[in-house]
Amino acid sequence: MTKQRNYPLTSIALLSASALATELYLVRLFAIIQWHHAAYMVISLALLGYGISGTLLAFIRKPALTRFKLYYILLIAGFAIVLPLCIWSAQHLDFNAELLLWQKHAWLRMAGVFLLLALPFLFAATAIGLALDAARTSAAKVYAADLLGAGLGALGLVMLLAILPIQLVPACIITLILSAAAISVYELNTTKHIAIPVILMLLIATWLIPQELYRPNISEFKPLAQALRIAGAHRVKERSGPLASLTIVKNPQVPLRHAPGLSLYAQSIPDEQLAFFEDASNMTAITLDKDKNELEWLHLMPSALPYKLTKPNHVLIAGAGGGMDILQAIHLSEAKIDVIEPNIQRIKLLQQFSGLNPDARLHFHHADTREFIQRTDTSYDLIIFGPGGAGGGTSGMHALNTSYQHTTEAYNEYLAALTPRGRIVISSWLQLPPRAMLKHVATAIQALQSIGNINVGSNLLVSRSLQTSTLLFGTTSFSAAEVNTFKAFNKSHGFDNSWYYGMELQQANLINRLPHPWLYESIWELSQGTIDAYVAKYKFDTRPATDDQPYFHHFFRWPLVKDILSQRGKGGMSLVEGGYLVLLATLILAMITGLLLILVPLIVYRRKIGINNKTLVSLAGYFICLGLSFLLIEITFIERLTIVLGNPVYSVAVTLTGFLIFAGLGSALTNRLQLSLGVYKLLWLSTFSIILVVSLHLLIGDWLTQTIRVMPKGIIIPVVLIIIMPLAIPMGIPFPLGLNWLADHAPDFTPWAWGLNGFASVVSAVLAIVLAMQWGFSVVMLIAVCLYLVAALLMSPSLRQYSD
Amino acid sequence: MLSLRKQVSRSVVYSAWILLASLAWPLYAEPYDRMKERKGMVKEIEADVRDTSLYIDREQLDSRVMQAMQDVPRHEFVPDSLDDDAYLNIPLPIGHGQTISQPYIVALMTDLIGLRPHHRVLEIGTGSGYQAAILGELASEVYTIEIVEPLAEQAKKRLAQLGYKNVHVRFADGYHGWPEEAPFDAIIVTAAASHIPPPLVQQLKPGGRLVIPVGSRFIVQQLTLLEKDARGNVSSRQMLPVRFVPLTGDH
Repeated sequence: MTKQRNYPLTSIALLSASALATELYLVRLFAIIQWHHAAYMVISLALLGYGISGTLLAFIRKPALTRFKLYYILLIAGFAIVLPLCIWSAQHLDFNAELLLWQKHAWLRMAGVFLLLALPFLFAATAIGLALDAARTSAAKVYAADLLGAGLGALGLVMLLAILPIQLVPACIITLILSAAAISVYELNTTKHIAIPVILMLLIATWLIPQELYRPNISEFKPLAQALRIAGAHRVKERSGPLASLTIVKNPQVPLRHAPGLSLYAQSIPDEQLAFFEDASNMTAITLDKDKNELEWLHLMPSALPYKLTKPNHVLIAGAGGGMDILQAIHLSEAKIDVIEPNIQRIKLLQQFSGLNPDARLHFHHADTREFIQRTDTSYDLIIFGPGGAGGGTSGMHALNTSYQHTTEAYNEYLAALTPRGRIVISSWLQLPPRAMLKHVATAIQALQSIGNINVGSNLLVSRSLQTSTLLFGTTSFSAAEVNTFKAFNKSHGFDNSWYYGMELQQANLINRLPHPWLYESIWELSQGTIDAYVAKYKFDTRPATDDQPYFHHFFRWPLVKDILSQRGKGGMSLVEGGYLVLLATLILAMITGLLLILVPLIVYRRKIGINNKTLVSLAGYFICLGLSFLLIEITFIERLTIVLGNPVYSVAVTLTGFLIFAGLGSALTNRLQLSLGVYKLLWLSTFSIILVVSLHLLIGDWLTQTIRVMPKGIIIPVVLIIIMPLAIPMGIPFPLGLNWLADHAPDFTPWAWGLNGFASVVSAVLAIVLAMQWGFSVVMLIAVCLYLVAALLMSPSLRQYSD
Repeated sequence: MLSLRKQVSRSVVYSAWILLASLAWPLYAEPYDRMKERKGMVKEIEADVRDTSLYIDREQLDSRVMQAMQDVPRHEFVPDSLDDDAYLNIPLPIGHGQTISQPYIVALMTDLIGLRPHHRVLEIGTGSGYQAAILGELASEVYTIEIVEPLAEQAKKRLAQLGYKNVHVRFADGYHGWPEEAPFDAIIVTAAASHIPPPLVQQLKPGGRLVIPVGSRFIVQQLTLLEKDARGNVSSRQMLPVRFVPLTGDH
């Protein structure tokens, strides 16, 4: 590895692309087979493979550097071989994330999954770390190739998911890994007559294995698995994409009948429906569009209420779901209907199976609701948000998902899109004690207050059925006639009045009696205008979500820990919103594992590195700070740009790719800049650039977001990339700068630097979410720049010496 | 003085008795231990009832219900691998993505429908058959419907083996109830649904009670009791069966 031509740069880029594609594939896979927060957990801990690779490298460094070519190619081949085995085994370990706080064996299974999934990353990261070490002062080039490849891997995976069924993705990734191995044979100019036939055989084997083996093996506790277990049930259509995996299930023998909150007085029943699953859960029902008489039950649902209060000319339905809200709008009104749905596959399947096809009244728009509302000139009489597919409360399992649809800023945008007497309608599954509905009400009140409404109580109506509650609000008060219609509707359908202006306590909680009239009491207090004082004393976190803290489903508060402990073994986790605790447990587990597998060996091994303890601590701190801060900034931008780019998947693809490619560019420029500026100046220049750009974002970020959102669609992505560039380029410099110093002064520390940086990234991925939930993304950015500053302060004494 | 031969033969007889007794002990001890475990489980249920009395509106459950909980061998309804956990007051997986409910929930649901010996009761969601067995101890006829065929078959076999002749198992869609045997004095639904199926409300006798969990089947959140008065009007009441989360002092 002394001659420049021998750097396996293309191979490194492909390998890195495969590793990142694997990571994103696993996120998607675990969201389907388990739950979203399990995806976070498994992936962040599986990435420990990166951290452990440093430790492994430190121990095999000498023989590996001596026989670099052999080790490098074998490690890539190892990645290709263990990946399919790990994907298959991790899926069949029968691990259920929902049982984590509930069953002791679940932890053992989880540990098994972590170890399995860490293996492929261990191989990939060891190969990259070895190449970095071998490149010595030219490590910046290898690191640049690593980042560029990772950027392309993120983009490639999203494109693969868009065009291929998910079960075909592993074989594509393995092919990419084997290409990396094959190219490295040529780049390193090594023995071809053995390596190439072996690689070819592996490639053939990859495609000869039945791809059905990679079909997601869904946990038996997920609703799709349960629906399919019922006699007569079968899948009629499946579509997977980067946004979600959609499945339609038909059961002529035991037909689905789904009507959230249907009146207790209903005599007619819903006709046979199809179950529509998203990621094997979030079930909605597809009802065939039929004659009005056969859909009589649509009048008997709580969601029929807005059509009794108003005769709308224009209705917006946010999210197509299974089409029930659309059917209601068609049959209970004569309005023009705009359906806004971010997933094009859902629109196509819905049209195919429900018969709801676009016509003069009905229009489908493939867009995000906020994005559409921002761009449209139409004013709406009703903007409708259905209850979604959660059913019976969120159980704390969606706590980690960001939701930009239900923030104060979003509600302000919806209010601006209403006609003067228009209403926003939000239905939500009932939880006891109530959480989501109270957060909707608090958010609505805050939005109304921010545009100058004082007597907000008169702008709200809330009703409640056995299973759901419905909120209506707008910029004008409800008239006495409207309130009377509201009361009459509730009485005739067996629903409770939970709020109208002037309502007395004794009028609440009469038909579907709760242990306590929570909704009425809470809304009364909220409508008095002291939201902060009210939410501060409520057991659950019902603070309105904001664009800076977009965690609508996060209801956890620390006093709940006592209740969670008392619920252990009783299956009551859903009552106390334990999802957040699972995230914290992940963070703690990641830190302990990192400590045991990376820091402890480093302490034991420190004498062989040949540097004094003070420098060792500075160096370790430097690479840890860099790992932490890089991901904190990257994740914050992915989240912040979600509003601009329309949905989280596009944001991951564009933002992640942008960051990695530009950071790669920064790394590629490092050696040249180092020559002209000197290493010390370059470190501080890059650090100050990062601080400056992040500070600018903190100051004008909101204005920037609002400005870009309304730009023509075609130029949004280039503009986003231009915004990322001045931040990402300096972010790519400090790491290779440190490696350069190590190559000359402490080469034995290189593997440790790689491992510590990887470990910090793992922790950072979880830490970013924990911090954002607690304090918002602005604070996360602030912490990240502080970490860059600390890193520069830790490294500068050593660099100054080096410059001298 | 006994001869040596007699001493030896007596020792042999004693030894044989001791050996026989030790062999027979497990046969006797096993049911005794199980009974002891069941009593322990019943005590835990009583404690849970006291803890949640504010929500469920009662300090203790009907003594007949508690007797049934003590009499029905829950270990016969759980998979062999979970035999040791059979009398813990927790839900347990029974395969096919289903669970056998927490004993406290079973007792509470049974208590809520206020069964009398002459009552005819309908259960939707047989599962392992444990709840049906409890109902079988208290009512004259129990009609139970299961949607997963293997579970229905297993439960039918198990209940027949245990001698529950008044429990009738059917593999069908519980949404439509069991119209041939309607009306019922009480209905227990053990699976969560998006709404209470209208046919079930129709098959409930005036004065009858229907109990249904709201939330997912796996983690029951709260039970809902639906009552039909003599004139056929229905109303519902929701309560928290699992340990509740009280609000802060001001509420």
